[in-house]
Amino acid sequence: MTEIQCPTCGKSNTDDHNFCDHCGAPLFSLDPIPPDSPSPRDDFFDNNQDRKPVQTPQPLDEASRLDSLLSPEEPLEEVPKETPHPVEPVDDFSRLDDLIPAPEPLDRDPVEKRPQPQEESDASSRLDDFFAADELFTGSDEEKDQAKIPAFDPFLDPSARDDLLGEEGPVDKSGEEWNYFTEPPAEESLTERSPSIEEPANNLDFLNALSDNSITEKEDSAQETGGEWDFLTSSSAEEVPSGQTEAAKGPADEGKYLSTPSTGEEPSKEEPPKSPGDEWDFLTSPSAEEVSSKEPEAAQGPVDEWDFLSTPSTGEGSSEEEPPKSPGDEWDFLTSPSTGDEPSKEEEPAKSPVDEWDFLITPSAEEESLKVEQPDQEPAGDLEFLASLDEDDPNAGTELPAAETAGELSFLTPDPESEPSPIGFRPDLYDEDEDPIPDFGSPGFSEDSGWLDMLQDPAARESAVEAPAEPTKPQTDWLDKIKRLNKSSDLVEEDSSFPDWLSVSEKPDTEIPEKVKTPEQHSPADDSTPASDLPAWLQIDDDDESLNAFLKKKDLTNKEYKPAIVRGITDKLPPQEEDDDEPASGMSDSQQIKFPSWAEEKKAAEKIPEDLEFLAGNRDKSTPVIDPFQNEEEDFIDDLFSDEMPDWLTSASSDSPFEDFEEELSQGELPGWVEAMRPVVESTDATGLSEDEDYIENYGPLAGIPSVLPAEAEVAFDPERAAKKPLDLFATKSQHEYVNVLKKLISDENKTKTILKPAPVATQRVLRWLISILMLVTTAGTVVFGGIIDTEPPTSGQVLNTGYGALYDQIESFYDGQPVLIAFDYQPASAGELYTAAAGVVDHLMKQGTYLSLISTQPTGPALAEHFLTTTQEKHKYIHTQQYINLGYLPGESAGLLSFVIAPKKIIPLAFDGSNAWGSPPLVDVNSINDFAMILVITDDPDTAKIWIEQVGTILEDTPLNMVVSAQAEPLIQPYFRSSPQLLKGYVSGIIDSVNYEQLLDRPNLATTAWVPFNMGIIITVLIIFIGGLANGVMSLFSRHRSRAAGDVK
Amino acid sequence: MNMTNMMDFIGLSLGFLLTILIFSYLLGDNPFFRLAIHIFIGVAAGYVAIVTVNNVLIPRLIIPLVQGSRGERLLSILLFIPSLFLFFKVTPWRKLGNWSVAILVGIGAAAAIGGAITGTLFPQILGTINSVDPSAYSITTSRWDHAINGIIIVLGTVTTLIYFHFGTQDTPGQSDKRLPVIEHISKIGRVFLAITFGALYAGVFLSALAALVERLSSFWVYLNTIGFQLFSSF
Repeated sequence: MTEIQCPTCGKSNTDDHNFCDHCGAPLFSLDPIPPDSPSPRDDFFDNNQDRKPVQTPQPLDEASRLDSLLSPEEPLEEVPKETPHPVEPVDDFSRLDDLIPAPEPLDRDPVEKRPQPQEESDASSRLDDFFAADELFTGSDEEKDQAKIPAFDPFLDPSARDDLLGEEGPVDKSGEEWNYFTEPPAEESLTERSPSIEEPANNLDFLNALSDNSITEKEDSAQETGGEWDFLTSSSAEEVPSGQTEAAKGPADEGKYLSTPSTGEEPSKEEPPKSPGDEWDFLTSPSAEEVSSKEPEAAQGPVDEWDFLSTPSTGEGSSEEEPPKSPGDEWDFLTSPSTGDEPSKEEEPAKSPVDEWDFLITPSAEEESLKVEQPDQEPAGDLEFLASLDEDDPNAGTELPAAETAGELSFLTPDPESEPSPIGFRPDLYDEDEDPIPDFGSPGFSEDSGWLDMLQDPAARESAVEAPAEPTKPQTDWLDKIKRLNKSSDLVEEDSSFPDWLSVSEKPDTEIPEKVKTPEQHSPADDSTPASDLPAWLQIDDDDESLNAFLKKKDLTNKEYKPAIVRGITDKLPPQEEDDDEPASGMSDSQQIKFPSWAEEKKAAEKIPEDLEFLAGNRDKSTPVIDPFQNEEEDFIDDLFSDEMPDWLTSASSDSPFEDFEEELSQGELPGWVEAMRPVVESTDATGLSEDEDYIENYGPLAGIPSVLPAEAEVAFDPERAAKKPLDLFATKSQHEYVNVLKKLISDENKTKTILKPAPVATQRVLRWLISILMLVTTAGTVVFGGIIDTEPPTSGQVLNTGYGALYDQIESFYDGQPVLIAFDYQPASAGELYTAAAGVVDHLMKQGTYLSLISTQPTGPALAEHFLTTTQEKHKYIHTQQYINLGYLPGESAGLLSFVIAPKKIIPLAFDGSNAWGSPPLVDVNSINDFAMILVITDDPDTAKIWIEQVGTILEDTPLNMVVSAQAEPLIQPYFRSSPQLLKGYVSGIIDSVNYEQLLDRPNLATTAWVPFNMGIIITVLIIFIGGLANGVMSLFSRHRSRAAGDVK
Repeated sequence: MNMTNMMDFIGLSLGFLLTILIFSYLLGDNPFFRLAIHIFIGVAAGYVAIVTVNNVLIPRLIIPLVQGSRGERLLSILLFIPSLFLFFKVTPWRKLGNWSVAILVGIGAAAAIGGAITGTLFPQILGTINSVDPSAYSITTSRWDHAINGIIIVLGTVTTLIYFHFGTQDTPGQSDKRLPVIEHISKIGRVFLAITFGALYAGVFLSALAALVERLSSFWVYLNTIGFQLFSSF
């Protein structure tokens, strides 16, 4: 065993010591080891020269630590005690393993010779045993590389503590398990020591065992049984160099750091009975006097609390120590090498990682001798284990100043007068029988608290042992979260559920929600471990119901415990809907409290997998969580936001939390800085909109906050409300009128206009029928029964200056054989009237013996002309091409007519039937348009009449232009007859002029026949118009009177 | 009954039937009315097409192009090419017939404008002026009558033209309105317009009435033809 010089006092210490046996100063620096950085620490912690990365097991999660430490019902059974890979190194304390490398395998041979498991025998390996299942403090090379230092979780469930400390009660375990922090016997090397597995009368026997030489034996036994806590048992010096074995330990080994390997199973071990205080021996100052003064059963003072730092030989069987260094050997620095365990370990010259802790052990021969006796003195092994470090690294101690005394290590000694933290290791709560300490290498004992992280070798962290099958929590998440929580709780009361020593704020832990302090706390382990066994700062008041409740809540199987606030909320809440947009109401039980937004977001995120599970139908809410370690983090997070939180985070004080929750939302209590940011809503007088003072947002994240801008834009405004406020603008009267009109338009925009049912059409239809029937009857009657009425011809005065008179005079002057051009430019629809009107005129022309030339600018004209002659002038028996010629259709309207007027023979060379028209007698003497005696246009369209007047009338010289027009065209062509120059020489319009013409001619024709029905129709029409107008006038008068009367009423 | 008479009888019968179908419009729009309308439109369109081809295209385009002289042929070609491009107006390449349409529109517009100016505008203006010229009247007519007629004619003409004047003046602070004088004069012109429209409406009514009488007379003739001699005795 190599010796390490204490940097403080300069005295030599065994390498398995972490603290100086003489002055108690740490033998090794506690600087954080950067990852992958080769450093002397690697050598310190790694006895293996190969410097294999220490595989540290995954640290324990926050909840698991607490659960294993405090909660008796923590299903530590779920944590496999037997590591699947017993040879795998332990990860929990790999940090310590990194710092305290396993001693040189000089003792391998003696270690290997031992029939004990390999991982035992070293003081540092006590820690290995703490993590390793069966191979505590073994000195194998592989395990040395895997410096698994199980993280010590003071918050472990009592059941977990049992596993750590062994099956013995907390009384028996006090101090012993922590003996690995005590000073190991100087003559013992860490590798030689074996974990005092047999000591675990109490949970912390391992600590004592670390200081005993019998650590190895105990470690071995612990590995066989509840070896999860073996690392805390007295570890032999061999454990330090054999820290590699710890790496080889399985996850089960991780839990052994708190257990005595032989807890309850090997009472024959040399572990002295431990007092409750022994459990905390690891926290005691590593002074030799303190170490020697420790009594396993005597009232252990604060020194006992540091027993974990003592040699592992105390209370631990040395038989458990194994020559090959196990990953637990890395923790040998925490154990005081027991001289009785492995005397051979003293000879280890190799420096182990534990040597770094030798400063905590006072190196002295007396101490070494005492260390040998430490198996019997469990509580004395405060830093006994550190003495073993001297054996491993004799040089380490020289680095420290000699003046360093144990007093300087007072930080390791809690103030006995200080109040115990509300949360911590409570041996009194720990029932080993019910909650055996899990294996050292169990995942529950993976890397634990953050304070141990600093001790962990980064290389060891990276090369951690394979994670157990059970997922584990991150190492420091819980601590980090606590820190964050404390940091964010500037305006928040300190959560009383968290220990003071973890809290940032200095507020005393006095404010605890009432509901948290429920009597529903049943923790078998609470009464099992007397509080006096724990150091003061770790002791938890029994009266700390909040803590108990907090711890109970961690127990997912404890369905009895359910905050009233949560029950109240869940009972009142409607069936939860999977709507993440809604506030945090209706969520899981632990989330029924008004959380900060950042907490709510986290809870919502956590809620998602739960919902998915629920949807998948895999979630059975009735069944407890199978994997506590996985959910412990969630539980831990839940605990963070549980009703144990301050009032500002909870509404536990309210009987109707949900209502309070709503009230809080509705009230919109915002912080002051948010209030200052509240926008000021001004009255929009310009638009007439009033302030929405009473408006409370009901949608979106601003629900419940009054005086906010509405989520939905108010596009339409109430013009009536706008009109109430006068416009302070200069506007004229007309502009005001326009504004009113606009307002009216806008207001009517949204109004539903009732569509008036149209008046029944039957009324109009009936009226139409009546009129039509009347007209038909009278007209038909007169046609059938009227006959021809002899009428007197118009007088000369009446004919004078009339159009039909002028035409009559013209035709009367014609003589036989004069060519007359007649244009039939009317539509077939007007044939009835024009046939009647033109029959007399054409008859007069034929009577005069004129030759007729028929032309038309309408395509249907030639046909109509032929039909006219055959129906009305049949008696004259005119023959085509003899007395008349039909020139056919003249295209081009005005242009064609103009061209015909200019060159008629070129435009119409042939007749309508294709015969030579211009050689026929009617046109033989016609060379131009002026050669015609008269041009008679028969048309119903005033435009056609104008075209003939405009195109032909202006060119004609002496040839008169006359027309027979419809009655509807007369108003438009009469100015041409009445104007001067007179372009229209004469005209006959409709039946009236035709009747007069026929009377002048004294040849009654169609017009005379149609005169009676025509007149009857006119009479009937006039009567209908007169009667209808009269009736309409009377009705309108009455309606006006009614509207006026109604208007007066309004 | 000979063929002529037979054809006349068929014609009369069809006419009678179609007239009845047209009179069915009194009951509202119905398929019979639409049948008659479609027949009339179809027959008219067909007859127009035939007349156009027989009386325009063949004698004025085809025959000169085939049998005409060289000059006639050249002229026919010159006339045929624009006509051919005019057919492009019904094709996707309607832009190619724009120039043909332009020729037609231009010639027609020129003839119309020239005739309107020389045949309507100037004569009407002279006639309005001469209406108040006593020397323009014949000695047989009373001069006061002529004078009154002239005044009425001039008054009606001027006021009607003023009525169609919609020019306004911009008045600050007030809406745009016509001058009060024009506003009052236009009211007189409105009266003349109303009278004119009334006269036109009366003329249309008389035309329709005349057509009705003629149709009823045709019915009666048809019935007499088919043997309703009972009514003929009246």
